[in-house]
Amino acid sequence: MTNPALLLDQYRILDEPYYRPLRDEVELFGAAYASRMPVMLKGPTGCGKTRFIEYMAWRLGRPLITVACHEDMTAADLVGRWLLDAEGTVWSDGPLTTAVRLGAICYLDEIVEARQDTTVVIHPLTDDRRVLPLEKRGELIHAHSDFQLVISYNPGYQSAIKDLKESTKQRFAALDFDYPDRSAEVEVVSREAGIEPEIADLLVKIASHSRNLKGQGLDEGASTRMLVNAGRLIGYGISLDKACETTIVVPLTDDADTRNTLRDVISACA
Amino acid sequence: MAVAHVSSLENFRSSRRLAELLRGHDDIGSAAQTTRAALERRPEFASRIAIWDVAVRGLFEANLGEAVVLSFLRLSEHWPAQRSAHDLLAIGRAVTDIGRSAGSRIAHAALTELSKVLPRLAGANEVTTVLAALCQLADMGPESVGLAINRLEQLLGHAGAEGFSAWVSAGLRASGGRAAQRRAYFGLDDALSARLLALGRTGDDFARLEKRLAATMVALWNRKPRFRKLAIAPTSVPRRTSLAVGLIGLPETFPGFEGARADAIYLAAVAHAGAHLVHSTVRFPVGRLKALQLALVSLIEDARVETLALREMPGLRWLWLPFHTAVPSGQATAAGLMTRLARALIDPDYQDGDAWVAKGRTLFAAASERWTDPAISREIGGLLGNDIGQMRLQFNAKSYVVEPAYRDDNLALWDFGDAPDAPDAPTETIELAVDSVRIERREEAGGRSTDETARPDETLRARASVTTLLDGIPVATYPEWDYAANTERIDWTTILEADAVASAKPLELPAESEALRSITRLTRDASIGRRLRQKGQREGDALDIDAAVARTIERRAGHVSEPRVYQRDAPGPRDLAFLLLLDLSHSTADRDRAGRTVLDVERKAAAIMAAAVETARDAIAVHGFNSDGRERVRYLRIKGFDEPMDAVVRSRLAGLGSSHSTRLGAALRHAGSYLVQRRAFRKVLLVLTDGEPSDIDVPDPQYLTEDARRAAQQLRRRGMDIFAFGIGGGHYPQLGRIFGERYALRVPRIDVLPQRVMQLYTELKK
Repeated sequence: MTNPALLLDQYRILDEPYYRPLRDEVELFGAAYASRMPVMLKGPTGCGKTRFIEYMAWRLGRPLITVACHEDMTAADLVGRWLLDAEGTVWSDGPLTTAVRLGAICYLDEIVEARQDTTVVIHPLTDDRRVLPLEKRGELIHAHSDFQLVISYNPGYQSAIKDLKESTKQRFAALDFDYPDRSAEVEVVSREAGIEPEIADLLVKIASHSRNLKGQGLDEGASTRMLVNAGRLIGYGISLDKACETTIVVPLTDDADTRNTLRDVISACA
Repeated sequence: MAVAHVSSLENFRSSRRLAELLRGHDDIGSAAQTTRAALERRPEFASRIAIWDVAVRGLFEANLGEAVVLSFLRLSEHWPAQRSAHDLLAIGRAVTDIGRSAGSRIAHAALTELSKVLPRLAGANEVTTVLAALCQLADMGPESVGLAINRLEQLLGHAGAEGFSAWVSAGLRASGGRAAQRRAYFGLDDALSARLLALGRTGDDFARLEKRLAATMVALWNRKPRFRKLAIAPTSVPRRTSLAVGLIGLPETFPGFEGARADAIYLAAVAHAGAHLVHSTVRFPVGRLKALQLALVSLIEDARVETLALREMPGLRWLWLPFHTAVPSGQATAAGLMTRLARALIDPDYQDGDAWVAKGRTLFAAASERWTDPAISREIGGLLGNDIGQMRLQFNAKSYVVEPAYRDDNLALWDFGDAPDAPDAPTETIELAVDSVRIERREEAGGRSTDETARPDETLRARASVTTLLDGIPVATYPEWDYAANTERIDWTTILEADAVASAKPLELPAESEALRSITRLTRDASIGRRLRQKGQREGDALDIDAAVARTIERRAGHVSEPRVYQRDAPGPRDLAFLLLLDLSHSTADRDRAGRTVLDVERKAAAIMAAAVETARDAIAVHGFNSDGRERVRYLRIKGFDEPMDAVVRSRLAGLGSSHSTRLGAALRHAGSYLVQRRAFRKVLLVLTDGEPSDIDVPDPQYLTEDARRAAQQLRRRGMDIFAFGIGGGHYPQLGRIFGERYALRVPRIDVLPQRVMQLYTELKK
């Protein structure tokens, strides 16, 4: 994959992803992209942040390079490293470097999971310099004019350790995401899972009750993604209670009392 | 047929011994021979007849009078064929024992009552369980066994064999060897006794379910009321849920609902209460309404809020309906019709021919447009109340209780204003309201903190003012583990907490003592904390890819560099919380050969540990405890986590004294509650004690040991590390049992302390 065009093509999104706009986020993101402003997507897990960025990449016709951040991720995992082959050392670009060089949207998913010293490498890219220094290689890359950096950030983890540095936060425009309102969520679940709106409505009702439990035994309530999963199982003929058990109750918590509460909610709504 | 031959020879000899014994007592003798002959013909007795002989001989030799022996013979003769012969023999032996302790009259009563309750005790081992409990009671409280025996049928009907046994052993323990208290308990004059009997079978359902109920309330209704446990009052009217502002009172158990049914009724009650919180938006003025009207308006309001709840959550119907068991038959009483109406309003499939019920249904359905308006409850309830009045049906406000049991008492729906004082308020109403208030008051006066969530409440504060100076403020109650009954005794111990009194002169601590120096070094250098990843190391657990590549490049470029190509996990910043718990019981005043008391060694050890741990910048608290019965477990705060180890703390250490007993389990639980609140990576509870737990109200030494063991295990499960230092010269076999051998270290003298602290840190590092 030495040909840059071929390399980029694998990151292109060919078919329109389903995305139902909540408010004016499509318009806002479009404007931010026009000025190549870094964007931060905030919101609870499973509310559609990743789907939104896929949709926007498709709409803008840009390739999308997604990096799922994790706590062992180092700066080298982002920018690239020297590797050895028979000839000697070869430099291998990391995903961020690829996006910067070739002009893709780079999406760092759940950025707070990465160690704070790792996230600092994005700083020179997110102000008007728009450069990425590769100090190991002695190279300074000026970002491609189509490059944009997008990060996602889940404010649900309210822990001092897992928060963005102030100096990182302030570089981004932020779009706030939340679970869609009831009718919109019903529409999303019913479409994505391919189930009747009545069943989707029931699932959304269950989810809204489970979201009451946030901070009261649950870190997060059931997400739209969970409802879609539940709906898909129901589509395959699994009964509602079993589908909810498998996709909502068991994944959400290991606490027996909280699980029972969720089961109570499901049977109360059904 | 050698075996048969031998057994028949045995049989012959046994029979002859019995006959010899009974010679001269012709009545008994002939009766015994008749019964014996009858039993011999029964296959289940054939091999046991010699044992039966022994049982009869025992009864006779215990000199309990002819009546008892004859009574046993009668029981034997009529012993049902399907019952185990073993049970009969056990009854014989038990009655002998009871008679020896409590006299022949009680023994006779025991036989009579046992034969009555026999059909009840059909389960495996139920007879032996009851007999063992009775024998224990006869042995430890001979004056009280008769009280229990006279009520045996009632007690067993209420609690079952297991519950009865638990109730007996709880009573023996609670009364602490005092006969008057035992009599009150076993005569059911004691509130605790009634409560334990009710709990005996089901345990404290409220405590078990509280967390789930609170979560369910939040999930279903998004309301966060506090939950309060209502103790079962020994009244004839069963307890119902009770709502107040921001508070839901739930009975500690719903008698008659056990196992899965108990879970269901609590859930139903909470769902119903939530429906009130959300939909009962106004309070109706009581005004001149009579009790019947109050009850009916409340009933309609119940149906209204449930109907609204069902619109949103139709599944709740399956939670509530099973408790609506009214059937359209039977005598038409006001209360009966009301339960039928309650069912009719929520169960669309319910058929009822009664005109009044049908009218209620029609009125309610006709108001469907206005279901969100509480005023309809007042209107419909009023109309239906008039009808009942015209039907001349009796309504007894005193015995009325809301049905079904999951519904609340509905007092929160009403604005009583100043009703009890208003001269023109109808008397019935007042009684209803005042009765309920009276129940609340009595509970608070007699209740040892039934309210765990709202501690310290007014009651505690009021009681506290009396005892503060001497003992400290009651801050918490904890359960205690009864190893014999295999149950937790809820709220069994009460902790009285206070700051330790400082003496005028601080404890002197030689600044340069060898022990202090070495322990300071030890604690400072000990590395217990989170692990951090270090890269580019000379050695480590995993290859550091970046470093490896860099080194290889350097090598190929001809440079020589250090082979730092590994990464490893290394200790991170210190994050340790210590709590030292000092045993301050009377026995710590014992002196060793050098004349030092255990307490001296304890406080010196505490001072050294605290100073050393503080130097290492870890948090340490020092607390102490002793006890005087389960109601008075005294807990002294000597040094808080955030207090510096200064002259004040050393004065408190110097001011400590030795008195009373060692209820270790309760103190462990309370110390654990302090540690749980600390945010630290490792939490260490270190107990300094001189030996085994004991207390004045506990005759069985193993009981408190097992309780402390359980407390320690529970705290370990919650992530704490627990150690004990056995101070002084004793061997303390119990310490190993309680804390585990590796965690129970002996500190005979202060100069071995450094070694023990090192062992402790070694364990912590594992």
